Amino acid sequence: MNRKNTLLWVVLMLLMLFNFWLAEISQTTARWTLSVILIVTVIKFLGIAFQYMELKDAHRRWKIIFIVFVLSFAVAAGLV
Amino acid sequence: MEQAKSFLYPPGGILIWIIVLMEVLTFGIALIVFRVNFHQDYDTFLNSQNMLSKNIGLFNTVVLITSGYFMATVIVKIKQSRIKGAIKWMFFTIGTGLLFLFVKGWEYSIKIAEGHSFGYDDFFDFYWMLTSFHFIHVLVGVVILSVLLFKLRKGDYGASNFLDIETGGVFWHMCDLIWILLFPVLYLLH
Repeated sequence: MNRKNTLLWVVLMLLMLFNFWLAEISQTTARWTLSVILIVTVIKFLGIAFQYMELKDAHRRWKIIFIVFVLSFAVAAGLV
Repeated sequence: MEQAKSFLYPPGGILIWIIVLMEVLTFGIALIVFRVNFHQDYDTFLNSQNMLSKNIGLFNTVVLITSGYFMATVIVKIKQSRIKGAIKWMFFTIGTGLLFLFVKGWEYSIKIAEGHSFGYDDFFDFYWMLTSFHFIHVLVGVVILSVLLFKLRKGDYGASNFLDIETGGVFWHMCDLIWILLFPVLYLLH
C-alpha cells in the first residue's frame, strides 16, 4: 500500500508538471489544451480520492457520487 | 444489508464524507461561476490572471500534494501499529501544511503590496474569496492534525483504534481536492 501511495505521488507530480507546462506553452485558448488540462485534473482528483482517501474501500455509491461530481465539473468548466 | 452498512460507514465515517461532498460541490459551483464571469469579461480576467505568480501556485501545489502523501503514510503506519512512525509522518504533514500557509501568506502580501487586494476587480474578488476560503480550511486542518498529533503522542490511538486519525486525514485530503480544482481554474485556464 505504501508503494502504491509513493507511486501515486510520483504520478501526481508528473501530471501537475505536465499541466503547468501545457498551460505555459499555449498562450491562446485552444479547446484541446483546455480539455487535456481538465482531463488531467480529473485523474489527479480521483487518484487522491480513491487511494489517499481510501474511496476505493467505500461503497460503490460513494465512488459513483464522486466520479459523477468531478466529471460534471470538468464538462461544465470545459463548456463555459 | 452488508452493502447498506458499508455505504453508511465509508473510511473515516459518513459525516466527514458528507462534509467533503458539500465542500467540493460548493467550490466546484463557485469555480464554474468564475469561468462564466471569465468569458463575460475576458480581457480583464486574462489581464488579472497574468498578474498571478504561477510559480508560487505550482510550488504550493507540490507542497499540498506532498502533504497528502505524508498523511496517507500516517494511516499506513498506524495500521501497522508503528506509532513512532505515524508520529513522525504526522509532524511532516503538519510541517508541509504550515509551509503551504506561509507561502500563501507571502503571495497574499505580494498581491496586497501591488494593490491587487479584494475589490481591485472581479477577477481578484474571486481570487481572494476562493483562495482565502481554502486557506481557512488548511488552517483548520493544521489545527485538527495538531490535536490528533497530541493525542497520538499520548497513546490514545493504535492499530485497532484510529477512526479519528482517518477522519482527520479525509479532511486534510479534502484540502488537496479543493486545491486540485482551484489551481488549474484560477491560475492556468483562460
